[in-house]
Amino acid sequence: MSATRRVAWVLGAVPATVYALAIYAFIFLPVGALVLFSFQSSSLPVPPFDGPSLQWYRAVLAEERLTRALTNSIVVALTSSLAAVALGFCAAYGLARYHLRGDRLVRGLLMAPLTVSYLIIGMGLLITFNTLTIPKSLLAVGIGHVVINLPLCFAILYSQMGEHQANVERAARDLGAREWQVMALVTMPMLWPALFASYFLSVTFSWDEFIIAFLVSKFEVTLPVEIWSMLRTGLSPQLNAIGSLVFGVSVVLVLLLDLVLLRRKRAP
Amino acid sequence: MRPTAVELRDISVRFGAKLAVDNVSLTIERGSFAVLLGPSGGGKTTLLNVLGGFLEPTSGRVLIAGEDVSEVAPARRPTTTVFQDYALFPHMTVAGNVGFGLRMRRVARRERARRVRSALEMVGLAHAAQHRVHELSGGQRQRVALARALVVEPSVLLLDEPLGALDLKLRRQMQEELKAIQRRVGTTFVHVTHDQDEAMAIADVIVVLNQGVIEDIGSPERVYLRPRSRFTAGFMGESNFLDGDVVERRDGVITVATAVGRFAVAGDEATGQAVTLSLRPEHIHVDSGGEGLVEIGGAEVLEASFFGTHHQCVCRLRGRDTRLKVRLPQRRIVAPGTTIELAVDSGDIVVLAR
Amino acid sequence: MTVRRATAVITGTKPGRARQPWVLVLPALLWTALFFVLPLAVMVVHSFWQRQGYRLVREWTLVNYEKFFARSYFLESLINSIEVTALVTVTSVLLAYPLAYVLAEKVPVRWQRTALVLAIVPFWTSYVVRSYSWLLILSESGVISGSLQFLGVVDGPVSLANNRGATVMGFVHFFTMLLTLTIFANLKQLSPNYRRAAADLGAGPVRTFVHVILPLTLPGIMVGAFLTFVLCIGDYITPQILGGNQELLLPQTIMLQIARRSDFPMASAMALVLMIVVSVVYLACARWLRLERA
Repeated sequence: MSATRRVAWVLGAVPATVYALAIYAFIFLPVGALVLFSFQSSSLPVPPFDGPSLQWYRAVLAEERLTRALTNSIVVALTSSLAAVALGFCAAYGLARYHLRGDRLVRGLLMAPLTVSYLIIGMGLLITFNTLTIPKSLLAVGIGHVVINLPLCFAILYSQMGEHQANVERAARDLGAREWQVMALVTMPMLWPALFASYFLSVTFSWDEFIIAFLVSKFEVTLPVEIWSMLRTGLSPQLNAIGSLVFGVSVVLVLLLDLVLLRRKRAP
Repeated sequence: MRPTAVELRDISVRFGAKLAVDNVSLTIERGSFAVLLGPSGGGKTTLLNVLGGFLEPTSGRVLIAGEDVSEVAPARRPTTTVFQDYALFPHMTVAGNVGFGLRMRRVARRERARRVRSALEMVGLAHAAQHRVHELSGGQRQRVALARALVVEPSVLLLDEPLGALDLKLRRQMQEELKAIQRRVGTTFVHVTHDQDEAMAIADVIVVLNQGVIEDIGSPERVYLRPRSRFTAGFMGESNFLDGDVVERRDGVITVATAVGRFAVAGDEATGQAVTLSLRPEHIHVDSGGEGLVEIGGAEVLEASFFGTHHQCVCRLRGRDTRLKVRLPQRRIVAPGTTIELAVDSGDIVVLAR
Repeated sequence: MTVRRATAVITGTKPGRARQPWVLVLPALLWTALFFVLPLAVMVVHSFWQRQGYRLVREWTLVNYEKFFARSYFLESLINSIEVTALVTVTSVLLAYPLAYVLAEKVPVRWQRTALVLAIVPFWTSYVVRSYSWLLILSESGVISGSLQFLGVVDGPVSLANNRGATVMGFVHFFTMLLTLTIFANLKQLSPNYRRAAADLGAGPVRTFVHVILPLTLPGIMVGAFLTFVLCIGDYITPQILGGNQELLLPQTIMLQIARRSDFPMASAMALVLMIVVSVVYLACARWLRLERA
């Protein structure tokens, strides 16, 4: 590059870099403080930073309520997401492969929950269960999570069942496979990235979801709800520890995911 | 002496380890329709981008109308480009698109409207001025892109495979229109394409590019009938290649010995030099003796395809392994196994270096 | 997200084939009907009932709606919500666009994915924890207060939390990231030839941006802004953690009706108002939210 062009480029890049770094600093500020002060020795998250200590992590892991909530969150996330993917897959298959009357209406209906705030969905479930005297429970939370994740799974899977996909299935039918065999031996394996993506997204949303879980659960709660109750008693370094733990686990999971996917791509 | 429209001096473009353009020098005369022709990856689009200022060459200078514009950004170069995907602004009307360059040059509104109207009339789209881009067909969009590029009266108009997205009939029609517009407006056009039929139909001068190097440059007739390199001969239409050696040289005529026989052709290559003879299928006479024709010999037809205007056949010379592509007349009934007699006018044979 | 339709022809002639697709679609449909449509309907019905004392009076009445628009603090919470959400949306768009632009244009392509991931990473804490972490910074026993005291700038603890500013800060933090992602995606799918064509015709970088890039990304911005609006106005967590008690937003007043007073009818009425507000905004933005043919 010629000298004048290079100088102009550098000068142009300076404000952009400054801005970007400023925004990144803003983005990282809270999490940075969270992680930093989770290792705080004293009980207040303020400077000066007293040497690193794992006491809060130990306290958190010892807290039975937290570990129970954690387990609950995992169970609800994994099972409700499974249901959401299964229902979404079948619906997507049915709508994508067959000419049904009123299919636009059905599609709209299945996607409708995306347009409604979680608060309202949670409220609706609360009032309905209350009216039917169905008690609050983790099952209710799971049901609510399927409601919010089903549209997502359906949308992702439906968008992947295009013409190309249909042709491969026709070929399988042509060679003698029955409907269920086509679905199990051809469609599902071919769609596995989409299946995986929708499952993963559903787990992520369910795992982090607060308001529905808050409204329709009572004794057994999920992690976000438990953290919320801890919050009611004010700032606490334990919160920092559990927050950092959740953060750390998420980072590790995504890194693993990335490695798994990347490794798969590189293998010929 | 008026300066040439475009001059490229020793242009090289390197992308990492790959040399896309290798020390190319080129001059294009004012008012001519030049076509950069070559296979994908051959360097023609790269060269066009260098001309337009979208790409800085690793070395070399670019001169337009005698001025060195190597350091000048595209906005200030006297060139405009018609892109392969037209790049029409979807949020503007047709008139808005065409007038965009004039707006950037701060041309007054009334003057701008007048020039936009006349540009649209020239491409036959005056009625579509207020339409939106997505309402137009592919051919119409192409014309709008052309109008937009021409209305600012550039010194050189660059076209990057503009007809690639059109179907055959439309493409032929647009080729004629492009040629007509270029003649009318008089602007120098530099047009990139990989379609040699297109190149021959519209170009005043064809520049054949392969692997970053100019293989040949000249008028369509000259480049087709007397190609200067083996690549050119093979890329422009069909060709039969016969390797041989010069065994005799006398009075501007050389005799070349090939596996198929000896041919006396015009030339002055030295004796003993290895050459390749290029022979186009349409120049091989079938079953017709005649004055001045050199016999090649008998051949057996192996395959034949009907192309409408002629049959294209692959035949094998009797007693040898050599295969030749020949053309048979439209009405001739051709079946594999038929024997035919081949002859050629030695004036049609092209001698190429090996 | 465009959802493509595949029209497949039913090739079989076996009887009962026509029932099969419905068998596949029915479970999802039933679930949605039972656990989404029904609760919404129940809510709508409840909004026209009334809670008197501890009893639910199942008579048609508009008293909830009257109460909402008459009582100042109900109406105020709605107005607060709209104000806060509007401010958050505008601020987040203004902050996110330049960042998305820098990421899409100035950062080398190799590093773009990493840069994006880096921008998202801090949000992998739970949403609750993320909002809480702002409290960590802004409250009187938080980082800023402590630092200022440590540096001797102030004498006592300083609280920057429990006000509208903190709520806005918490929201902007989240939605700037979200909008950066959507605007980035939008910028990336713009053909580079638009920029080249504009430059070719004489537009410098500023005018290329104003006349070409900005208008072309406007639909994407509107979609992102709408998404921000909907998510923000319905959020209970951030204002509850950061907003303090002086000023309540609509989700908070709704939750108050549920948690403290078990007044489902009132809460339902307010939820309906919220949905109507969102629908109104949707209709206003509908022009941009319809997918335009490329």
